Amino acid sequence: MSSVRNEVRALRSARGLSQADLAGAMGVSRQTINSIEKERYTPSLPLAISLARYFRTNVEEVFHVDGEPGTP
Amino acid sequence: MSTVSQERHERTPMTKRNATFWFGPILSVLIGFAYLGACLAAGKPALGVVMMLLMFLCAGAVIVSSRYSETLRGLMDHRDERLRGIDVTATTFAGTVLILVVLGSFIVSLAQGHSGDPYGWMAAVTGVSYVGAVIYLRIRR
Repeated sequence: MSSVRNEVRALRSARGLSQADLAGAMGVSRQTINSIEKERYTPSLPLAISLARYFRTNVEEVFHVDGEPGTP
Repeated sequence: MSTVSQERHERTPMTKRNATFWFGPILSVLIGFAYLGACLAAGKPALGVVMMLLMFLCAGAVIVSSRYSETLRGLMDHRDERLRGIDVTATTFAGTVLILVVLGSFIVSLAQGHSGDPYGWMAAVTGVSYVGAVIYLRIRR
């Protein structure tokens, strides 16, 4: 079963943002950002894309799927 | 000082209440009026007033509490996807528990020599609703 890792905390911290700041920008709760960073919650595709765009990168740079079919 | 991207995302701030937020409180008020009407019909006006006021109090408590609880506000306005998912899962769990209680009550009623009403009808309506929902969603999704 594949698991999803992410770089949200690192990207957020590098920009000096609080979880509340990022949550406000994304239109979600601070709890959701916290759960994403702790990898307890995998965001939906629209939210994942919004996060990637916010950090001015692509989704693959923010989210990593382990055990993905077709990958070594 | 935090830096915020200049790129504006078209999402409503979490602090603003949307129309979905008011569904719960309005429903509570309407249920309160329903309680009053039912108790008036039963010749128990005082009980009806008390039950109606309790529902009004519930609606008010939820509105005030939502200012201090991110979880409660998220459950009410359905703006946050994670809280929407929690709401759906919790509703599914509660519905499953209710179905089991109804089925158990139906079985006990039969064992006691009764007809099983109204539990049998409740179980039947639930079953038909589930099948209908699966069919509808199978077509739409």
